Order: sequence, then structure tokens, then C-alpha cells
Amino acid sequence: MSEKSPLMNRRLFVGGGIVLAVATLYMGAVGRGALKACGEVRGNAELPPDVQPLIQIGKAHLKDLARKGEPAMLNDVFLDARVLNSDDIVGAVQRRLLALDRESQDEFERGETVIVDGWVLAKSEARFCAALALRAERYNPLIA
Amino acid sequence: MDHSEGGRSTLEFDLCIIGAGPAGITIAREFANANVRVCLLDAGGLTIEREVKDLSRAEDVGRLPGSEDRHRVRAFGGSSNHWGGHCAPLEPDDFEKLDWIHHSGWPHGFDELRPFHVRAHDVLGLGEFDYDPESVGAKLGYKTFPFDPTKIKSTVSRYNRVRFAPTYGDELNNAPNIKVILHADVSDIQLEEAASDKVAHVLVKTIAGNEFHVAAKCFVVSSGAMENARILLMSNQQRPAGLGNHSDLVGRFYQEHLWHSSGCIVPRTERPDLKFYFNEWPLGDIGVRAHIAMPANMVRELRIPKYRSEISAVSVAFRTAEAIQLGVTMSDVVALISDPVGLGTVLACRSESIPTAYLLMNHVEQIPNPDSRVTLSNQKDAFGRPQPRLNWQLSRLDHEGVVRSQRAIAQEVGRSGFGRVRIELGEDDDTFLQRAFGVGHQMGTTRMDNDPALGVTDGNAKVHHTDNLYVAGSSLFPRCGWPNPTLTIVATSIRLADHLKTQFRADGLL
Repeated sequence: MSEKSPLMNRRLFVGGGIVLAVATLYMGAVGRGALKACGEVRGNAELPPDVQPLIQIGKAHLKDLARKGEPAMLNDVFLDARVLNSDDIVGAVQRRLLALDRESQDEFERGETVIVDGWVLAKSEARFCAALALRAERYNPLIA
Repeated sequence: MDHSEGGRSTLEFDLCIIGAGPAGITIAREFANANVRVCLLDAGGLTIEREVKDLSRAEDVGRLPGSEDRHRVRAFGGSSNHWGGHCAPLEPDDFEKLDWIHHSGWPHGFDELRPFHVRAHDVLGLGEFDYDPESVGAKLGYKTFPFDPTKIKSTVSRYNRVRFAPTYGDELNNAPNIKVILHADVSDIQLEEAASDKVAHVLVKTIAGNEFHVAAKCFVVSSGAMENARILLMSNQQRPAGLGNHSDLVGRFYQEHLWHSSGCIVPRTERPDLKFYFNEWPLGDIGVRAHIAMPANMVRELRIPKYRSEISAVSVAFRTAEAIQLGVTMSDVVALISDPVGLGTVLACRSESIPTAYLLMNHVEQIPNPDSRVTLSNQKDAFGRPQPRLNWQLSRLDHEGVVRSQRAIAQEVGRSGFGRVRIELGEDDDTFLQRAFGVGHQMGTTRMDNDPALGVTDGNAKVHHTDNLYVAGSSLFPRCGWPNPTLTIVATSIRLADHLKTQFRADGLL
């Protein structure tokens, strides 16, 4: 059984992604005009439309947490949300997703997963999505 | 081939085989041109006929009423007239006695059956006995999933739709020692006397209204799991509970392979090299296809039944449309796992997408359940015989095993970085128990065990407390594993034929 190719691809992809991310951060800081030309960026305080799927996952996870009454996990979500409470939301999302990539595989290794609408996700993935959902709704009681 | 025999005479043979499906035909062929007079009886004709079909109709009071009856074929060739040709041998752990599955364990092990699986391969025209997915996949240029094989393994199945009637009918017809009698419905198996363990003859009825006896030195009942139980139970003139039913086990443990979708895998990147799993591919004259399954260590650790997942590739767009009501869709998860660090670049018009997801259709071993059973109905058929009464039942263990195994798959798919899994079975819902349907693999009703208190038949397939009555077919299986049963039906039938040859040699016949 070949075990290497997807992981290798993933590593290469992540490596390439870092370059892309740095480039994008640069564009975010310097070349904002070019992004705006694509008609996708509406300002630092707004979440980009491409995170809508993640927000959808996050909403479902929040609903589960509320239904199950898991305050500790909700607290984790709020902490994540505070991280995301940045003016440079695009950069913050990118940085968090980069970290999540390795983190989520480690969590799968340890069996630290949650089920969101049937999807088996790493806990940190679900928590991050929930934070985005909170951010999207501008609902973040921990932030003054 | 002879058709209905008239009168009430007795026909004398050395071996009488009741039922001409893959099991019965295989045993008869083993004796072709030998010095043993063989009579092969079948209740049907050369084609499926309504009048004959009516004689095997069951009263179905269990789950999914009517769903099981439609799989039974009363015609020469039996179920090989409509099977899909799917073959794979049982695995070593299928034979083990497991502490969490009561009534598990075969009376013999994998190694005992192995040479017969190899011989069965020839009967079924399956080519080389190669079930290594890496080796078979390499011949086609396809890869296997990149999972840790101690977590999820790949398996391979071979396909050849052998129709036993056209393939072996002439061979049987041309063998001078074999007499095939069609439209011959066995209505009773009669002992020499009530106190005897020796079967003297069977009573045969025909739709033309004739009756006759067939006497033989040995008898084999090979009419399918439902009919085998029915024939033993209705042979109750001398033993009121029926033959082999001393421990009230005939008809119990009715098992099926359970078929149900459980969810899907969304890969992180497109993997066209995994085609081996998505279809049956030609390899010489046969077909081959890979599946995924749980390795024996995981089966023990998770305490789950054996199963395989068949994988179909579908477009994410299709599944997303289908899943609108589900909340989190496949596309949402694709966005999470496929290109997260490219999120910034997507603002510059991302075009990457993953067009396929992999649906998981599971073929699950039913856990042996004594309450899932065939008995005799109060309703009668046209001959005045009791119809079989089927009460097919699953247990909560079946559901729990499937849910646990899907979680394990999800864990490994995530851990390996391959993608994510959606499980469409809730821990507490009854979806699986209500909707899983059988695929026509009827098994378990005359289970083998060397202890008469635990089995209808012994390790040689002889009915306990009889001298010369045997059973062939999947009704013998104490557990069925994930493989489709025909290869093992043929293998156990060859093994039984070998045993009978030994008996006949001892009697000076061979």
C-alpha cells in the first residue's frame, strides 16, 4: 500500500501554501488594490466570502455545543474568536488555518474528534469554524 | 435429463442430492463418471415457473416483509441463475470463536478450508487464486488507498457470473451414473424407523400430481438456507420436532449480508489512481474490484462484525445538491480541508475544486441471532405442506458495530491526511436497523458445531443424530464474514463430497 504520496503532496502543498500565504499577506498589506480588482475584498473588518462554508460548519458546531451544554468547549471557541478579532481578518484566518493543518492530523491521531452534522472533524477544526461563525455574527461577549 | 417420474415407485441410488443449485451441482459433479449412482433432485425446471415458485413462498413476519423471498430461485442452477459472480474467500478470523459474538466459531479453521477454496476457484472459473489487492491492482496499474493497513485494509474480489445450469448441465446429463430429476419436490425425509438414525428414503411430489420415493445410502439437503430448514422441520412424522432439531436450532440464526450506505469520504486532493475501488475492472476473462475493510486487529479491538465498504465516486456538486437539507455540505468540508492556506489566494479568484467524493456502501456480516429464524407456518402450499415462516431480525449489536467501524474509518482518513468522512448513521438512531436490506445471501439455519447442543450439523456437515443425512450450502455457516458466500458454498460442498467419497470407499463402492 502506498502511504507516502498524499502526505508528501500535502507537505509540498503546505510548503507552497506558505509561500502563497506570505505573498497574499504582502498583497493584503501592499497590493490591496489588486485584490480589490477581483471584486472579492470588501475591507479588513469583513470576513471574505470564501469562508462561508467554514461559517456553515461553525454554526452547526455551535448549535451542537449549545444543545449538549458543553461550557468548557464554548469557552475554547470564544478564545479562538478573540484571536480572530483582528482588523486583518484575512491574515488571521490564514495563520490559523496553517497551524490547524498539522494540529488536526495530530488530533485525529489522538482520537480528539467531534462530529458536526455527521462530519468527523478534528476538535480544533470545528472550534475554529465556530469562532469564524461567531465572528461573522459579531457575537463575541469576551471582547470588550 | 428426466422429467417428472410417475407412479409411487422407489428409485434406488447411492447418493441422493436434494436441490440443484451451486452446492448440489458441485457435489454431483464430484461423482461424475464414478462408481456411485447419484440422483440429483430439483423442485424446479429449467426455467423459473410461477407454479413452482408458489410452492416455495414464505410467510414473512420479520423485518422488511417480502424482501427475502424474492431472492430465492426454484429452477435448475438455483441462485446461480441470478447472482452477480462476486467471489472472495472467508478470512482466518471468520472461523474464530469470539467472546463478544455468541454462537461464533466454525468447527474447523481457515487452513482446513483453504485447499477447497482453491478447488472451488476452478469450478467458478476465477483464474489465479490471488486476493492480494496490491498484486492485482498492479496488474491494472491502479493504486490502493494510502491508509495504515493496521487501521483500514484493502481487499480484492473476483467476479465471474457462472450460471451452473448451462455451464454444467450437459456434463451431468452425459454422466452415466447421474440422474437429474426436475420438478421433484422433496416433501419428507423418512427414517428406517422412528428409533433409527438412518434415513431410508425421501418422498418426492411433483406438480403433475405424482409421488415417488428415492432411497439412497446417503442424502444431502442442498436447497438454500430457508428451504433446508423447512425440509428438516417438516420431516417430523417420526421425530416430532423435525430432523436435527433436538436442540431447537433448525432454522435459527437466519443471517443475511446487510447492505446500507453509511456516508462518504471527501478526499483532500483528487485521486484518479484509485479507480480500482470504483468499478469492476476486466482482468483476463474475469472482473476484479478492490474494497476497504477492517483488519482483524481492529475487528477484535472494536468488537465489530466483519464488513467491506464498496466505494462509488460521485461528484461533490451532486452530493451537495442532494444534501441541501443536511446543513453542513460536502462543499463546506472541501473548503475546510482542500486548500485552507490558499484562502487568501482565493480572493484572487481560486479555481481549484475536488470533483469527486467517495460514497461508502457497506456489505456487513449479520451477527448470529437465535431469534432470527425460519419455522413452519400454519399456512399451507399447494401440496398441503406448511410454508416456511421467516422472522428475520437484526439486533442492536449490528447497528453498534457498523457505527463503531465508520468512526474508525473516519479517524484513519483524517489521521492519514487523506480527507474527511461524513457518517450518515447516528449513534442512537435506528436508520441502519430499519433500512439495511439483505442481498440474497441467506445463511446460518443449519449451523455447524461438533456439539449437538450447539449445532444442527457437525464439522462434516452431517445432521446430528442421523447416520447418513448431510446438509450443503450456506445454511451451514456459523458466521459469514464479509465475502459473498458462493465461493465458500462451493468449497464446503467439495469438502463434503470428499468426505462422502471416504464413506463410499469404506463401503467398497469406490
